[in-house]
Amino acid sequence: MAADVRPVRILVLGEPERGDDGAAFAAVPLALAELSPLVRRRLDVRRTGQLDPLDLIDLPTDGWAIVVDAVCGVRPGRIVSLPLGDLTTDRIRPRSTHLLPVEELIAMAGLVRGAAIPGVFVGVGVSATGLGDGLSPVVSDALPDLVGAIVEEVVRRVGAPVLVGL
Amino acid sequence: MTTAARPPATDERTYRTTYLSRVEGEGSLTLRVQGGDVVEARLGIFEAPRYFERLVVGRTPDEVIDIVARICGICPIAYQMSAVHAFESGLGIVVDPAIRRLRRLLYAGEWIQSHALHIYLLHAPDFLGYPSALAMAADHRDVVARGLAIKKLGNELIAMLGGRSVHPVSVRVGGFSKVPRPADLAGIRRELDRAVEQAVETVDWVAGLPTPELDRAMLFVALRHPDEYPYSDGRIVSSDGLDLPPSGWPEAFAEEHVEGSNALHARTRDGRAYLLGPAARITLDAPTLHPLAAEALARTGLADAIGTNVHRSIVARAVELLHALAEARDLIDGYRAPAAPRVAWTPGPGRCAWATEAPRGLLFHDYTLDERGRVATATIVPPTSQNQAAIEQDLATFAPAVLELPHAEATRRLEMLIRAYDPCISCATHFLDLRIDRTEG
Repeated sequence: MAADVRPVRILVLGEPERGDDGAAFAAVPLALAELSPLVRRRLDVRRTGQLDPLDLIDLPTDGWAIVVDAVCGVRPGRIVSLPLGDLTTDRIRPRSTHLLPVEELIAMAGLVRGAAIPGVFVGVGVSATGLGDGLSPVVSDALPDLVGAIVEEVVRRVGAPVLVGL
Repeated sequence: MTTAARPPATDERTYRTTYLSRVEGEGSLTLRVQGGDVVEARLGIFEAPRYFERLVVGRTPDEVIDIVARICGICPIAYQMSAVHAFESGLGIVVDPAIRRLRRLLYAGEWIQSHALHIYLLHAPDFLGYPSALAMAADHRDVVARGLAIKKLGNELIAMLGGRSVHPVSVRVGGFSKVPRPADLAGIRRELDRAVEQAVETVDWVAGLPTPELDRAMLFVALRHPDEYPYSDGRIVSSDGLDLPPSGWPEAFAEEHVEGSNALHARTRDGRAYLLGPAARITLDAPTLHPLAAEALARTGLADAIGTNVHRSIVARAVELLHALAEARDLIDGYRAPAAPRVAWTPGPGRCAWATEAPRGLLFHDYTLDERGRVATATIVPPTSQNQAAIEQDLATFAPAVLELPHAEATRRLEMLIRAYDPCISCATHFLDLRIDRTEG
């Protein structure tokens, strides 16, 4: 695997106090724990909750974004991983009751930046997003897969050796 | 999606728009037209009841502050501020003046993010003929970037003072759970100079947008404070001479159930519709605007038009955006951390009622506390439920001018009118179902 030292920005979206909507907040720390300190230093992790286009617009020229969120409209526990550019047209849409849809914000960020935002969306299908912390059993069971998907994306962009103990 | 059906047997036409973007909440609009006259305009709210007034029963005041913040992701500060001022007023708690200034700074943060969001991403596309902010961004990249930058600064202020930008957690009865050091605000202070300039540009920009005509009289209601533009303090006043303490809302207004709506409508005790929000505040409180905002408002020459044409509310909102940014800069420049984040207080019984100015207008909370100091009853009156009657009234006034236009254009202009109120029907609407029943006269 070719070493790729592009700065990687992980945007953690969701709401930890709304059940499965906190999946990204649960998964990202676990993913970081699997990565070596050397790699973690190349990551810019932003626990923003909601997506702010400026977090994408000001990506470094050679940067890469990994947007992690819970997903409605797919089977609970299913892992979704797709390029940000595809998210703007894909029917799988993270749903927000506020601001604009995530795919619109990503597209808007690309228009303002003057180029498509380089990066991927990684998410997990939700089962329950009512008030209260803690993940549903189906999303808890899928958490290792979500962590694995995040780690895989980091590895792809930053390169090996990345895992603790390697 | 838009569909049109014209049942020939009844001479009635039904127009239906099943999705209205760029508003908050779920609702429907029905226009009934006879002989070219709009005889009824009804904004139906079918968003499910949320029961917050029951959820807070049995809770302590500090728990209530966290719970009511969940009512809205756009204006949680407003809900926290109305609640905390109600409890402090009812329990006789006096906070440090530095805490009061910090709360103004926090409220300014919410106005900044909410107003920037509405002006740039929700409302401006209407004036320029774009279906969305995304489409507008393709042609007006710098404009959208400016709006996003201003909005982010508001979010940063809320996160700094509230602990996080959405559903903040730091507001407590008697103060805050934690207050910043002056140095913590240095980064935001540096950004404010540029943001104030951008807000001046915003006022000039929206004042020049092509705007539909509307000329009507409206009853305005807002807080008024003798020395400062109203956020959390002042008396409830109206354009027809009302003057009440912030706990006195029930003396002049009442909520009522309306058929076809899950939201209560509020009217004056004698049955009149009234308007809250930026246009009302500018009309009633312009003398206390920050000098920079007052100067910008004067430059537009639209102070009177804001009072007669709700489409000009975007100008009022922009002037308030400038006010909030300029005052935030002044507050940070003068900031000295309070001696303690909060004052001690003793739970007890009593009535606790207060009104503050949410970005969309007057937000009234009314609690009774039992002997243990826990909530026994709660009434929360959000601004959008108070504005609904005014929205319907303005729709009835405005609709005749567009009904002969092609359906799509008529619908776009009616939606634009509704968006002018920045309705929040969750607090207020995700889908608006537009139905025009037309009977030839």
